[in-house]
Amino acid sequence: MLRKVFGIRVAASFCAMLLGGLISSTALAADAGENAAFKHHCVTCHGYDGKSGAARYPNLAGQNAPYLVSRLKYFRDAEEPGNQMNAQAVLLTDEEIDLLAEYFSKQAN
Amino acid sequence: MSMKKALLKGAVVVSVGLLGACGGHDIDGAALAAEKGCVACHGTKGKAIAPMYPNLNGQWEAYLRKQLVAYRDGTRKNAIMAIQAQNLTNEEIAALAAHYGN
Repeated sequence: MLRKVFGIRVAASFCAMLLGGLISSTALAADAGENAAFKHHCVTCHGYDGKSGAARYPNLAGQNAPYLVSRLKYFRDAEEPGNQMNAQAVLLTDEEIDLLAEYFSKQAN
Repeated sequence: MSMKKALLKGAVVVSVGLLGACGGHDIDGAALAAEKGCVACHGTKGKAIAPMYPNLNGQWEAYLRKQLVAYRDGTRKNAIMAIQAQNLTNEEIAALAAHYGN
């Protein structure tokens, strides 16, 4: 009986350790780029992992970061009047643009 | 002209027309990408040769088609791509988008 209880306790603490590890690694993954992608609603159209749900929105997963930076600045400068992205990009700082480009470029294509 | 001859003539006209229509879908996207110079920056399979150029692999076919049309009509502004896209026909755009996109 004592042995059985001990076994259960060991198993329970092992589970707790696993769960703790999972939670902390998830928290670490929620980095600045990911936060920016949520904050600026990129994920609504381009997907959490850069894979968009509809063909009218480009996939960003694995896209080259310098290209994404130039594209976001193009929209921020409203070079293409009427594009849906202009209103999204106008709020972004250079630092946020870098973070977002880095985040989406690192998602698996 | 007898009825039979008229029918035959009609059949020949329709057949030739069909052949012509089908011929339009026979553009080889890979060959066209090489011929038009797409591969110089975007690679043969859509992996860009430098990070300032976009990868096209894994991109939506319909999105790529729309971008090439936008470059051609000047909606999407880019000095390099405007020249590349200016003489593309709709059929060529469709073939290139199908080659690189999903």
